[in-house]
Amino acid sequence: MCYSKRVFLLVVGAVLGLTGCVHTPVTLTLVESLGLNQSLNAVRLDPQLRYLRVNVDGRVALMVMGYSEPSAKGTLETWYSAEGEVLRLLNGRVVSTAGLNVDWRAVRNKNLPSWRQLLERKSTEFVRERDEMPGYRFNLTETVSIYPVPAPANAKLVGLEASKLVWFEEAVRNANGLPSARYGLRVVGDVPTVVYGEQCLSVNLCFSWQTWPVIF
Amino acid sequence: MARYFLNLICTSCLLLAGWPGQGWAAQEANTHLAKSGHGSAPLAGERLSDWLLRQAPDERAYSFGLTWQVPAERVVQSQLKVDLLAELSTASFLDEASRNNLLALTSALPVTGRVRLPMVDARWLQANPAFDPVLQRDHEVSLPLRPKTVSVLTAGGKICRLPHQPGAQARHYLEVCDPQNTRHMDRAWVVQADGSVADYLIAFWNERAQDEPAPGALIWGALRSRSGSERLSRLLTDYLATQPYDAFFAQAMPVHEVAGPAALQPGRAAMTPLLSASDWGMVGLLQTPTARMAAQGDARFHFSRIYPYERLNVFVQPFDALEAGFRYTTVLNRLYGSASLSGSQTYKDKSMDFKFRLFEETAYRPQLAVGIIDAGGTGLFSSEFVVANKRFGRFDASLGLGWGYLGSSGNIKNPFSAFGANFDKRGAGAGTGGQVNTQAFFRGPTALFGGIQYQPWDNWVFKAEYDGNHYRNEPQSNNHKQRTPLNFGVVYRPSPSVNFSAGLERGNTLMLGLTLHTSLPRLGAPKVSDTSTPKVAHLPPRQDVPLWTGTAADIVDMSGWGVQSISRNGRVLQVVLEGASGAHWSERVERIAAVLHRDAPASIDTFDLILTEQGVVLAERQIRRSAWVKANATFSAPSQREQSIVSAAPRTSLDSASQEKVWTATPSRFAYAVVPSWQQNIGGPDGFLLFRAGVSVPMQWKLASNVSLSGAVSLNLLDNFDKFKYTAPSNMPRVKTYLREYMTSSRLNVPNLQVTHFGQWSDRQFYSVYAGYLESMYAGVGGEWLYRPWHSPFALGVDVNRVQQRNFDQLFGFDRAGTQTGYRVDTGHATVYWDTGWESVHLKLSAGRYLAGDIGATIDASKTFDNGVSVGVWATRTNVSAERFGEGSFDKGLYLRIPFDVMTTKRSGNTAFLAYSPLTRDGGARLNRSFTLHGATMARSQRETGFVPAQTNAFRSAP
Repeated sequence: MCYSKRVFLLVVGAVLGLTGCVHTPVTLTLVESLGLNQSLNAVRLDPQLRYLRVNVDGRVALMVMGYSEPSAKGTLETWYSAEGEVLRLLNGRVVSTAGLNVDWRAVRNKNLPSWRQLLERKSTEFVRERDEMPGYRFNLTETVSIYPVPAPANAKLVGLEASKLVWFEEAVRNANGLPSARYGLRVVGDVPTVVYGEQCLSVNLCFSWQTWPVIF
Repeated sequence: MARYFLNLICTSCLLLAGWPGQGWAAQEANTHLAKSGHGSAPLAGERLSDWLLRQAPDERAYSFGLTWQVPAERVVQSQLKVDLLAELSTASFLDEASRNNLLALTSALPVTGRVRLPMVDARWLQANPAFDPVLQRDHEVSLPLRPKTVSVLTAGGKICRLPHQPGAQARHYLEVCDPQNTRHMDRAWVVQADGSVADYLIAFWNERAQDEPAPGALIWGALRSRSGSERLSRLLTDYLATQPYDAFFAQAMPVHEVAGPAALQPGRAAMTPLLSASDWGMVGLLQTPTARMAAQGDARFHFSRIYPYERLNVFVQPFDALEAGFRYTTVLNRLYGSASLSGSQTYKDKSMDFKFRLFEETAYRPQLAVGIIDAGGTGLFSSEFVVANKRFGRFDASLGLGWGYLGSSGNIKNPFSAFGANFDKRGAGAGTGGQVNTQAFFRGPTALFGGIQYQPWDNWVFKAEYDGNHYRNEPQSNNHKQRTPLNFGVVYRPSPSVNFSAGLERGNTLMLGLTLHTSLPRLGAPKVSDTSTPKVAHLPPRQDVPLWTGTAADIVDMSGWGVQSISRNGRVLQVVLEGASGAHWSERVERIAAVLHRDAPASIDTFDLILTEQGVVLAERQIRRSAWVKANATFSAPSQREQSIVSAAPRTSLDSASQEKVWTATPSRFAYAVVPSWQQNIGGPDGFLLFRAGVSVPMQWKLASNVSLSGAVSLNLLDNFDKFKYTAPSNMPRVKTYLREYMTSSRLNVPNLQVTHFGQWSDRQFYSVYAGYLESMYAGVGGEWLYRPWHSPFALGVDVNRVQQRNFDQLFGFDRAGTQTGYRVDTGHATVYWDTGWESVHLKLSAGRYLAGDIGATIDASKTFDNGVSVGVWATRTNVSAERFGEGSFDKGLYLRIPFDVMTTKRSGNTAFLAYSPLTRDGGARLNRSFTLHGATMARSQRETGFVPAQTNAFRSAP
């Protein structure tokens, strides 16, 4: 279990990192993540930290990983922005956000196969249940189709060719205008890892993210 | 009722039998994953985020329903309970059974001390400590299981519980639990599991878009038209919000269970009516107005075209019950004037409209409004109307009576004719315009008009109306053929700030329209281009010799205000600031406090900010460091919050013997800026819009601490003034009507260059004396005195000036001002300023002598929204007759003041001032002084320094 006090994390973060459970103190995370008005290309990144390059309507910022926690369902990553907003990804998929204009406070996926299974099965459907704020829209239940797609030309990838990734798209049945999500996976051997994703939290709030810097 | 008792009995049986998973006892036992006092007691000083992370991860946890109970809160909540019980005891609008049920229910619910938390997400709380409470041993924290139900407290005081359904709204739940009474309810109060309370309009005639009740929510629907029911509902729901969501079940109260997911089939979601502009810009259908009013602060810029008219309308809603605006109408098949005067320019007409709401719609009564179109103009389209609206779900019907242009078909007899034959005939227009033609009001031909709008989807509206005009008595003999009095139209809103409209009117003419609209009080921009505020450290730094130069630089960076000095006096750190500006002072003071806390030694417990202007002390802010840190580094219960920033009466002297000055600014004598400049002339005969755009360089040279030489140089870079040839006639000294000459004589201007001395006679009296080129058209000498007590709603000022008309080129000299060369005048005013305290309205009444030597008074009324944006009007009447004044009859206009703080992503002290005056005339013309004492002493005002940014709801950074 990775829940521990922050003071403790300062001391043993590196050790925990070796065991696959990475913590970065929140205070450091917030300092290292960058707001919108700084040039990302000029930033010297801390090699001890993991970054996410996030693009919202053309505005780019860096988020820094605070926690990476293995679970029965996969690796849960907690990412922070400079303003203290939180993005949680489970196996590269958004499972919660906090502090955004529109938040998916909790996402519960049922019958969702692993990426490895998807690489074999190619396409499937699963049920997504989520809680959305503001609006107190809880238990929103959606049937989501996931299927492979060719490398897109309009992905907001930086420093990486789309053709080097394996792509999947997630479309919500009766989406009411909610655009599809898209994932770019790097497959090494038979191990897929999501290195790029696009998700719309609402019709008007879409963003993409990419692990940063590019390591291929 | 039978089912209700059966349920009660049955629940008791199950309880006695000890069956798990059934009845209230089982509910209680199974609704909490973790509860302090049950093995998960908070550690003293532990953060809530840490408490949450200590709990075993469980997907069934419902952090949204977490309760945090603080014993200190029970005092206030006990009083709330007492008030509620008293209100219930005397609630004559409740029948006895309902009253007893509600009394029993309220009495049984304990005072908990629950404090609502803005967000319960451990990781987010860690990153946002200002929202992360520090727990104490006597606090109770409870993390419940995720519920699957929503509860309804019926009007009869009974509890009903049914499965939560995504998409279902309060009305849908009420209709299942309380079907008989729901049709008599206009409002529902929803207490969410997180402790928030909201009331929603739910009836067929008033429903609005609303949030859904989340699992664990409680809904209370009160019956309509019961005096006192709203107060009772507020007390009741406020008290219920202090309870855990499962409180009823924990107290063994009888619950009517509605089982099965099919119990509730969510109907359509409630929709907020889309209000849109008529062809005339006012909220309405096509040609006709409705009684509907936009939200307070809404502003719209609207253009419509229906041959032969094009209308450019600007409307605002300064108050809930008042809509006002002005318009330029282009008559496409009529010329402005003779070809020698205006070439081929088409005819332009200016007009102003007002609409007042007389009363709001209720379940049984329509909304009613009265209005005037083209008031005070030349009266070409002058109309009056009374109109009523009643809503039926997605349909909104209007019916009204119109007089004048709007009622020119005369399809019914004027009902006011009963009061005399003089109502049968409409008086002539106002001639020179500008005067309200009361001889025409509600007189002459009268017509019935009305229509209906239907909103099938959120952003589409279809309109149909019966027109009161038959277009056979058009102004300028410009009659049109009307095939039918029925007009049809459609409005599409592709984004929240844009409407497209189209219609078929008169049965033969296409109408097209475009509306750009916004909410003035909600204008705001996230400050993503500003340096971030330093994070608040829990502990102050230990070093006693900070680098104060860096501190001062950061204060300037955070606020845009100048730092004169930093001094230390025992445990107090005093910072003298100058040139405080901008709309949102509190935000800037907070940012300054963050810098000072970061840098100041631990021995400092108070930051004292002294706000000055040219050496004059105007106001003071005291920041209590420990309270400020507590407010910014932890989330406290309301009863434990302290005021950390106090606005204090300013001292008269800056220096004291015990002060140790630790940093003093190097005097910067010269300052300048480069800003864009814009001047325009709208609606003249030479062209609808004549403009010049360029750059202006305002500058200031400090001759002494309270004497400055200030001015500006402006350069015209782009204009269309080659068309500007018309000089308006005038029967008075041409004190302002040589506008064209002043705007076109030179590309390079010095609109202002003056020496100003600003001083203070006492703690509430200020003065200034000044000399130089005071404004673009006048130079001279003058002085001003202002009496302005600190935080007083009243102020009194007097200014006197001796001025002479400047050269047309706005450079130096007095010998090239046309017929005004050598014109001198003594001008000045006594002015009373009154912050009324009503609806944020500020009044300014000036009386005195104007530039043309005329004597009179000006009244200026403005409404300022919480974000600092204000709208205002002014009018001046002097001893000049309407005939001598000329077109417009008297000076008047309206203005919009928008602080840059609400528009830009970086804080700014500048303000955009957009004034519209139908005409520039010589009567009632005032000296446009660049330095006024009321403006310079803004820091004395509680209101003007209390504006706050609107919630922008935008990304503060990328997610």
